[in-house]
Amino acid sequence: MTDAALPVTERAVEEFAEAYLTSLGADIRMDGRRWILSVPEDAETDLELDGAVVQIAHDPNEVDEDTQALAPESRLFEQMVDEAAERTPVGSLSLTHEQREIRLPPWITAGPVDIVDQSFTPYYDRQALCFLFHVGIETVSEYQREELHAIAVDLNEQVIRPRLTQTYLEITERSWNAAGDEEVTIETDRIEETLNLARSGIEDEIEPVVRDTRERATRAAEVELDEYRQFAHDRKDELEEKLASLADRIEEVNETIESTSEQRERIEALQKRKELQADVENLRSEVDDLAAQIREGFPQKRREIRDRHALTVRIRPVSATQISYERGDIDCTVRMAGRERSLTYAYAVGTGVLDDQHCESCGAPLSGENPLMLQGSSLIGQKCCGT
Amino acid sequence: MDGTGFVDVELYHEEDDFLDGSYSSHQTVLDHLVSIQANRLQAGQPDTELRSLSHLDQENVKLLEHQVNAAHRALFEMNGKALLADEVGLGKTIEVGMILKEMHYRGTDDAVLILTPAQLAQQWQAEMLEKFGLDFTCNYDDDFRGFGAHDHIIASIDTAKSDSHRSTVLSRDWDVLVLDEAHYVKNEDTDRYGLLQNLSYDYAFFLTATPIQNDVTDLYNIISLLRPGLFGTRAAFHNYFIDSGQETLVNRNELQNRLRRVMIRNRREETDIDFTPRNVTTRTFEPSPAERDLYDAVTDYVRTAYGEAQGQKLFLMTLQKEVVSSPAALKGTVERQLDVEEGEHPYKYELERILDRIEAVDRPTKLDRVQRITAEARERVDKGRVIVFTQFRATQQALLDTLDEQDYTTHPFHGGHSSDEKEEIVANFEEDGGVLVSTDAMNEGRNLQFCNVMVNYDLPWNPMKVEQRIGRIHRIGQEREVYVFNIALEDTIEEYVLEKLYHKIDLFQQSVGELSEILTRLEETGRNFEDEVFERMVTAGSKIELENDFDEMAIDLKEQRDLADKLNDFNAGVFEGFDLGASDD
Repeated sequence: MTDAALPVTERAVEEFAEAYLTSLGADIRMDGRRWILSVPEDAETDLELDGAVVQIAHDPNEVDEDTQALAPESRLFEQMVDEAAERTPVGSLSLTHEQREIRLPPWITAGPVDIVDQSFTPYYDRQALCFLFHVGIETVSEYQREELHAIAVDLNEQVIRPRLTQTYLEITERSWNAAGDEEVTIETDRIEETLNLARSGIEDEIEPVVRDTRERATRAAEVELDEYRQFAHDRKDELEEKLASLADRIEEVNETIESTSEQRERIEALQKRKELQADVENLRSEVDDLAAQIREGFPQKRREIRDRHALTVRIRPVSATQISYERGDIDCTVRMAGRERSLTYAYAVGTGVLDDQHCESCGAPLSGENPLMLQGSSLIGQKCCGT
Repeated sequence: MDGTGFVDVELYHEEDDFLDGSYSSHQTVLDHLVSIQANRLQAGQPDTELRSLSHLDQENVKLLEHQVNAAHRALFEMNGKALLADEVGLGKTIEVGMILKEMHYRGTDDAVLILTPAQLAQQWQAEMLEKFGLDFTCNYDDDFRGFGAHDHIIASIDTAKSDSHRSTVLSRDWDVLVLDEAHYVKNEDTDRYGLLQNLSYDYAFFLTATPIQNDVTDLYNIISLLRPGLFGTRAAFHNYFIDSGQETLVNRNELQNRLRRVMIRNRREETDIDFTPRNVTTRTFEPSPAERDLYDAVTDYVRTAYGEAQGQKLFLMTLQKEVVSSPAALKGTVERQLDVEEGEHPYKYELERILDRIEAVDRPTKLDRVQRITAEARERVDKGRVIVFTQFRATQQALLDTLDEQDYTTHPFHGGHSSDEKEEIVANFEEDGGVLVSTDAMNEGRNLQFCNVMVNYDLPWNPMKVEQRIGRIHRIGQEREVYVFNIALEDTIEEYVLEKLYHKIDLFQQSVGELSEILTRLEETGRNFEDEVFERMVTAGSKIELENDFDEMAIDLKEQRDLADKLNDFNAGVFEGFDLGASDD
């Protein structure tokens, strides 16, 4: 499971199917877990759904004869998902403070200050593009791993907005009534520039997974190479034994050649010696070759094995969402030990406070671990300067 | 990549069409939310699942549990190299089909090469297309333009290793290599072994039911192609795993542990494959005098013409097959031959004589007989459903005319119909019953299990085709006993093929796996079944000689079958006690 992936539960299947069928303009007559469908003739689908009876199930094999199963791994569900995934890859969402709760950052809420008052004043809308990227990592020892990653990039500032990405994932997980524009226009230059930034963000994000997979693939390749290395050593030893035995035999033949007085025996022995010497040559050449490979660390074999175990990483965008989000100021009043102070920060809906804030005493960044507190009228970090 | 560091990483940023150019569209927010969630749900499936399974048409292929497990293990647990060594008839081809389908689904199959024995290449091609929707080019296709010109190729291994193709085959980096009947590449001194050793690929799947042919070293040779070094040197393998006195395996646990990394073997007794009985009846009938005259005239002509000009082989073979199929089929071919030939046909007189004899046949004996079988079926079988197979369209028409005269509900099925028409014909046959008269242009995926009676009105000389016909109704899912009727005329080539050959090798009781083994063994000895039947027929000097020739061929075939059986038994014995079907690591 990856960060953007959703678990395929029975409930997720049911909710998705209902939303998808609704988006096709279908009328669903629900009879418990059985749905009877009417789909308009001009609906954009290749599935034969009009008049179909479908049944929500856990196991695709446990439905009545006359119904189609809507279950994780059922054929109908897979077909719906495949069709829907490609149908409307580009769209828009708009985030306003009326729909989205204003969220103060943990460096305010996690500390000892009380929030007396807060209000958001929108000034204008900002635009961002949020992409879903399909990531495939392939290596022969594990075959293939597939992930889905989301990343949001602010169009004006060309920066990655992790908290906006998180908001996007929350919105697209289960809410079917989110707001957005029905007309979407994105300029080519904008897409190209933003996409490049998003791609490099994804590369950074998957780097740990790639590194782990690469380590495992390297180990698998090393195991194969070790097998081969052992094989080559054993083979070399075997050949050397054979060479020693051949040398003994040549020695015996030499003795025969020197000692015999019979012409015929001598010729046969000479012939034999020639054959044995040829065998020695062949074996010697193989031993030399193996010895060279062993000495050099099997460069050719190593290259072959490692090439086969190399990782292929493919990154492909599968959807783009233009997100319009309100930018303004958030004003809040905090109180601690009877003292109050008003604060104003740049804020964007779905993204939160835009700029990092620091301890007014030592300059350390404020965070959930180092939350804000009041010391007199100063804003300081609880951890860095609060004790 | 440096010599000691990590393996390489190749990173590709792929484009997607939807981002081409500036984008402007109109759609509802719900549409887009649905698309996003669909993508997120797609990604929510576990990585190590066969995702393409739900995309397979269960009408075309019924997957069994052991096949799914084998495909899964081969892909995810074996470092991209696996020896699929199920016992005969358990569907190794299906396992590879699933693997390739999954790879296709995930986009990891850019270049795939399947190497098979020559006689099985087209069978593979048809199965991959019909059962898995995977389109391969075969080296026997008219539009095959060499190994560099296509990305998904099924080829005879001997074509691939031939001088004209070898360098192209070796110059490519294949994503996937499949090797069928891998035991024929066991000898390390052969060109085939050399080809395999030098091929560059990422994934390799080898298939054999009998990894061991002559001795246990065969296993070493095959595994060494996949994982050199897994068993150490040949001598080490011998010393450690073979009791040289008994030539039996020792240290079996260690051997099993190593084999499990690369080999999967399912045994029949562990699977849920269960076929209903197959009941085969062969009926031979005495031809009428006019039919006998016609048969003799055609046979004489074929022998004479072949003796003088062997270039006409295909035409002459067709005549010899048609004369036992129907006079109508024969007539069409002879007339076309006379029309096509420019100037005077060298055998004009003989061919016209054949036409005269065709006219003399009043009513073909086989047509009468097929009616009796269908009549019987009409009384005894649900909706009287019978499938009658013939090789020729003209015979099909003659059959339809005769059955229509008798008020049978008939359904013609041939290669000229569109896909939709074929669907409709089969649906009507299921619904209305009656007789489906079909040529061999019916693919394996077509589901005809609702019918359990089949007639071979004429017989292909290629036994695989006979088995394919039977396989249309006798398959997993058929719940009734299957009846196969063969009709032949006495003392004709058809009777010889049926009686002497097909019955001798028990063709009608063989599974596809067993039959392909026999045919591949035959091919290994340099022969082709169909050619051999024809050659023996035309070269025999007398009837006695012809009978003797066929007896000889039958003995040879039986030997091949016995050898195949022996090998299966031997391998079953060697691997007895091995648990290679599932890993418990």
